[in-house]
Amino acid sequence: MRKLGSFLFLTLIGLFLLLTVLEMPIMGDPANPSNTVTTPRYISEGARETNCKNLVSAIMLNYRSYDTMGEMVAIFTVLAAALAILGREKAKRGLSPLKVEPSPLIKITMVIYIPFFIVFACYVAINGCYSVGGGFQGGVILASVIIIFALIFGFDEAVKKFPASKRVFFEGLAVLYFMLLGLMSLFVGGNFLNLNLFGSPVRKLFTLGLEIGIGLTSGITIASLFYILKKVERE
Amino acid sequence: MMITRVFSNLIYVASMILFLIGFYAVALRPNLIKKIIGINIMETSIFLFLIGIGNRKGGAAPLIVDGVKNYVNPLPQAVVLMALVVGVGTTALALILAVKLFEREEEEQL
Amino acid sequence: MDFHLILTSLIIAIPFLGAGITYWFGHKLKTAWDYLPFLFSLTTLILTSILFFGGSGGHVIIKYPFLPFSKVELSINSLNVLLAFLTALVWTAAMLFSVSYMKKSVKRRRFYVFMLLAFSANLGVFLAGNFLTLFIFFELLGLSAYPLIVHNESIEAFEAGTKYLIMVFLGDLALLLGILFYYKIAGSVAFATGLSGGSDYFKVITFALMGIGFGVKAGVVPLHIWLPDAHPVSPSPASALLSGIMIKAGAYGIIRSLFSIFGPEIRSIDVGFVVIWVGVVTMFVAVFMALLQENAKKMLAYHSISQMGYIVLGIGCAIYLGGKGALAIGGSLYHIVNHALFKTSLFLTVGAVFYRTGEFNMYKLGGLLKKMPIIAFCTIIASLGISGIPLFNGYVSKTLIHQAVTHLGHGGWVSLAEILFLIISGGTIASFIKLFALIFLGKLPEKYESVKDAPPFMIAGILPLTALVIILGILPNRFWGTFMIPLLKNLGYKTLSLNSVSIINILTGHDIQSLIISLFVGILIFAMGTKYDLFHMRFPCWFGVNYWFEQLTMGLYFLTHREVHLPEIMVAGPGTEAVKEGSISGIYARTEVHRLSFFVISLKRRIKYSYLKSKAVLTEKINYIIGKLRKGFLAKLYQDLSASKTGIEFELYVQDLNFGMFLVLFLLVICFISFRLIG
Repeated sequence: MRKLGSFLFLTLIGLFLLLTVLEMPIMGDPANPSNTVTTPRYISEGARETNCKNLVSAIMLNYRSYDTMGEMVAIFTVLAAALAILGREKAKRGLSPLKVEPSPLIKITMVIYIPFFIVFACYVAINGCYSVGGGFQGGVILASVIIIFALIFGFDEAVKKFPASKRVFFEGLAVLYFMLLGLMSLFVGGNFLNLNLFGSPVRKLFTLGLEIGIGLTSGITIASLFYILKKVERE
Repeated sequence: MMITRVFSNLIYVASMILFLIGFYAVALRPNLIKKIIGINIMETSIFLFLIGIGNRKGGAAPLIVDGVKNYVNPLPQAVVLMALVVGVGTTALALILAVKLFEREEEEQL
Repeated sequence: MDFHLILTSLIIAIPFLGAGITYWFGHKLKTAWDYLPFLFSLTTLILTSILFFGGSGGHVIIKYPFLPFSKVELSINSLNVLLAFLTALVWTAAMLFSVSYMKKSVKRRRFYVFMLLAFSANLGVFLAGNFLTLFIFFELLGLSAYPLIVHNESIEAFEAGTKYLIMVFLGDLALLLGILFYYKIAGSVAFATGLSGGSDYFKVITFALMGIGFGVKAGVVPLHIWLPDAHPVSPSPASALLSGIMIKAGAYGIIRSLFSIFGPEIRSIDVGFVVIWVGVVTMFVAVFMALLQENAKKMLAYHSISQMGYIVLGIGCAIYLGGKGALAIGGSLYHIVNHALFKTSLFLTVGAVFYRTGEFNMYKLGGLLKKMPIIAFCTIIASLGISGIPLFNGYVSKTLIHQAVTHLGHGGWVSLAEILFLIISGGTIASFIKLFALIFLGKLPEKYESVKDAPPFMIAGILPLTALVIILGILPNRFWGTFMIPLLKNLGYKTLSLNSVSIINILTGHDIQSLIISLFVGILIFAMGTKYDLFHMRFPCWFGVNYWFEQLTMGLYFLTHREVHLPEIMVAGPGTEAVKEGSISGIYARTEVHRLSFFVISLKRRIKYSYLKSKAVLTEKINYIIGKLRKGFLAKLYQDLSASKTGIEFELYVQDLNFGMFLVLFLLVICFISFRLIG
């Protein structure tokens, strides 16, 4: 009975969704409202106005930097909440043995390739304005490096390599940096976070700083969340 | 007419199906972890939907190259990128709350 | 679907699928399954020989447009097919050999699976149609060779495997970067005959990167360090193939990249000069080291490096001479074929001796000529081949390379290279006299009185190879005319420059003169070595490349072997028995002491540069180790060290992180420089 009820319920919702889908304009049509209202402006003027060839980065760092700032605050809040609920992991003395010792093949590969991964993460983050990529993507690669390290060499090892004392600075970096930039533009005489007031080279520098800051913060925050969750498993 | 529209909008249909799967897990599954997975699937379906809206036939990736005029809409991509990271955050928070809840229940049972 | 596409795909697919079948269904066949891998390789050999003997001789490119990886291309041309046929032939012989050899061995299913995988990958390397495909199969080859190296699961094997992996991964990164640069210059990854675009400087960097990548596999000095460790520890059929065929993948890659970047018809004097000297140094160092070895397999491994030196020397001469270098590159390719034949049969014969006696140390063997006559016969044929005696195949290719060296010019460095060439040939002769004399002549130790000749499967594996050694030595012009001339055309040499080399003359007065000189030098070296006991000479450990490499990558070693490495050496190392008796003697105990002192040195170095709080504790520990080392109480020391390992290792890890961070900075700098260069 319950199964039947849930099935009917889902079918109802599905029908509603299908009706919506039928009302949608054909995908990819240049005449769609999503392609005619704001997009031409972004595409024709975006690169000139923001000095960013990558329009996604341009939108994230300039046109919609409020959103990005809000998002950084959001993940900062998530981390703060997680710390309030479960607390930091603690470093242990000595190394506890791994449950499964990975094969030497995996270990040697990772030991050799980790520096290259980190370089790749830096590259993706730094060149966010000029090629595909950006701060978030670089940050996620960084986080995945740390997580892979923890999975292969053990959690204790990862805690020792990237201890909380080293991570804590980066976790709030981007929020701080956004606030600082916003206040600076206030002092120069514009609105909050209006980077157009600065000259082109200074702006480029700020944008680069934003990319690096966003990358480090999102990456380290994801790693920290992983550490907090992993800590539960150890205890 | 209707059939052609559905076939040209297959991505929306896929996103709809994903949404339904996610919704089923969230609403009708008792397991907390499965609910969280369901939230993630729903998120993914919305991302797919947004990216689909921003598509443009024959458009290049929104990276300005000389000589190319036709680009896809960069706005949904930027929004989805932000939503992805927020999604990671919410998932982590949800998991942590679930862990806490689990611990509390264990304590009460003792 | 045309004929070539199906045939070539099958050639690569059959060993690959065969590996899967052997793994999942092999053991269900009870007793028969030992023959299954051999049957797979025999099928591949038959298919390859259809391709080889029935080929049109043209240039066919095979694409897979219906598959998702449409960039993967195979190509059939005379060079690729010759090498593929050689691979299949030698591999099948080794598989036949291992039917008997591996019967006693445990975990032989794993061995066979990876043999077949490596077979497939190696055929893929040789049949690849562009650099991307070459790279994919090269990676697969590198990975599937690792289980073969560590098959014995001893500490030596794991250590050699680690070293191999470190070298191969670093080399592969260089190779990948080189291929990206190549793509940047050429606009595609296809093989070419000389690139028109790009500055010379950029081309040289591209070749250097690709040369490092392929050179690691080929065992070119100073990238050879993994080879003398890895080849002796693997089972004999595997090491025969590692030495005979797999390092040829590297040589083939060097030839392809060199000819694609610079082209055969253009003289590139600077590049040629460097490559020639890399080759000569490789030959010299390896022969010198080979003379000092006690372990027969290790000696053969060093000889592999040395023979790779010949090949690299020929390649260098070809690029130096430009349009006239057809003879040199022909000699190199001829030597690739020859070396595969005689080195494989040498490794297999030594393996057969080991199968009957359980001993690789040449000084502990002797007098086996009457006990194992067929194996002795095969050994002597293969030794004559590698020593470059007329009527055997080694003589032909060595003479061709020697003639190429004399074409380089007169006086100066060319004379030096030629003199070194003769000395090296003499050294090769000396060490094979030594091999044969120590194993098969002299007094028979009493415990080997009941030794019989090798089982029939082993002999059936070795005999075809030795027969080919003689055939290729007697009929060099036939082989040259049938296979080498189309091959040189395929590499890009025009008909004009080929006319002068359509027939080779390998018995000129100069050749015979230099043969007599090298024979004389060889006998002299052997006589002096035995008389003054020079073959037991040892050098301080900092003398070799190996020591510095281990110093540099110490952190990687400890990180990768944190559970296995230290305690096993300390507690159950192979030297413990010798140690318990109180006498530090024997080769194992010596390596133990070496390894420990090496450990202590690295610890000291770490303390010197560390900013750690527990410096005093560590220093105390190390002084303790040194004191124990001096007194020779190794057994006690093992226990102490293994008990206290966590403390020491913790410090090591911190240092490794700094090493990694340093590497990151270094790479970032390199990235920026290279992007400046490109863009």
